[in-house]
Amino acid sequence: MDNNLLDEFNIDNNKQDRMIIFDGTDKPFLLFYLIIFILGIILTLIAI
Amino acid sequence: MSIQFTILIIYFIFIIFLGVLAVRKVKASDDLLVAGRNLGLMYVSVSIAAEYMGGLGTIGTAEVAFSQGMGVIWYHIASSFGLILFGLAFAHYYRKYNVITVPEFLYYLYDIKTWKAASVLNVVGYWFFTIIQMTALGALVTSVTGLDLKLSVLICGIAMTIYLLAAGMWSVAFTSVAFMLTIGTGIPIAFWWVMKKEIPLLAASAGLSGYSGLAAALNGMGLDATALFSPFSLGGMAVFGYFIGGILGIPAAQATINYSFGAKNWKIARLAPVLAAILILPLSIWTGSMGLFARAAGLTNNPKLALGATLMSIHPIVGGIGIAGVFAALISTVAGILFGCASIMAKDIWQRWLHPDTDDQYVSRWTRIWILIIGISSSFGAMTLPKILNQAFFVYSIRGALMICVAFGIWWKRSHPDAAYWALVVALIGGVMYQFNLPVNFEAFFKLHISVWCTILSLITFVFISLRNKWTTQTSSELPPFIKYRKGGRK
Repeated sequence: MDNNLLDEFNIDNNKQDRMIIFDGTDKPFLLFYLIIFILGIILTLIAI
Repeated sequence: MSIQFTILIIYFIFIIFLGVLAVRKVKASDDLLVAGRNLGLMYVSVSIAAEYMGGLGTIGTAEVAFSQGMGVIWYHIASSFGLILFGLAFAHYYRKYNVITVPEFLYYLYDIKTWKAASVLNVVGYWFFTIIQMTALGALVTSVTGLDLKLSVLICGIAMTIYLLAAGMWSVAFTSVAFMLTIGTGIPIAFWWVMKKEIPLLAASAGLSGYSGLAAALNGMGLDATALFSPFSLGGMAVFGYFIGGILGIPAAQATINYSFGAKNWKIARLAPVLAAILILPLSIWTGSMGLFARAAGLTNNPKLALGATLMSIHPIVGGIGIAGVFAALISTVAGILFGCASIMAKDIWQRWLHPDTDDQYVSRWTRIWILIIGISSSFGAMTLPKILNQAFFVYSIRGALMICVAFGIWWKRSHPDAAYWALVVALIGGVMYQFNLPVNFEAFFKLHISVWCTILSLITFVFISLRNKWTTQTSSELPPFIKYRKGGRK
């Protein structure tokens, strides 16, 4: 893919350096994700 | 009223409430269609995972394990591979282009006729698929509640339509959190209960729990437990087929990937599918083991009923939680497909194609109208057209071609708009020929799945036309104005 083409009409590109993946609102969901993930592993391990 | 039924009813009401709650988030059409491009990492990953885990991944994997053993774990390994591939190689392109639909991305990569063809094929395919998935959902509800199949389908269809009408992608994101929690806890808890508490109760298990008890019980039934437990019990071709399905079926599948379009930025769009892949990875270990339990316990002779029979035979509360998990997996998939279909219909066909000079309010209104039309018509379709199950071929025929168009469009400089258009058309013609055995029985003759057959056809078509056709002024004049500068080919 030609990045020049993307620059042509991509408003996000100008902000890429400032992009963050996690912000404050994601914290409860991170916990949620970990709970599901760890619960699945624990239940599987004790079941087998 | 059974305990399982009560749990399901309470859960259903809660889900509708949650979906409708999202209405306060909607102010413009972008809020409906792509959640205002404001979804955080967890909303996107959880929505993708919940959408991807559907009837095939739950009831279907238990069915395969029941008859062919634990080799079915490759289904979700391959699916996870497809999601990671989408995340790392495709997602940021879609997000950087600020697209709302996959056909729209083809518009940017190719031309107007490819966009129109992809829009129509996607809408027809997803409409069929919504009906098929609604039938599966209705069958699950019927097996638990004892309600009439048609009534079950109608109740589920209308409820889903109501919450999608409220806030579109925001509703899907909100409900997906609850769905994922239900799937991610309900199914492993039921699995744990089966392995720990139910297997020792089987006469042939010699009081052992876990896989050793299950092996003893299977051997007691005269089956070969070692072969059924082998991760290669399905054979190499089936595993290869799962990987082909994962690779072809995900990177251009609107219903699965559109949550990445709603991500806050392209980094989130890229990482979220990888997190979703981790969530779906273990699912077939749980469902497959419960499918094998159904066989060891002699609960049913019908593999399709393996998971339902297991969950209905165990402790009612644990079984009810497990059924809620399966129900969540199915309903999140139907809602995702219905929403994906309505998005393309409203945005691509209705607004951009047929009514281009309309304002945002008009788009919002018609997005909701199309959710309503597709939701209600699919509910009635699922009630009255059981034979439509065969029409899944339509989706299988075009998904590989869409993937080829997207992948080549991104990475091959010579990709030509005519090649993309004809790859789609040829895939559809190939799919129809395969489905109706014209002129030969392709499945018996070539020993290929329909999606592989159509992908090969569209790949040959795409490469041949791209190599033969040169970019000219005429070609670029068919492109949207803002990428017209690409005269003479791609840079």
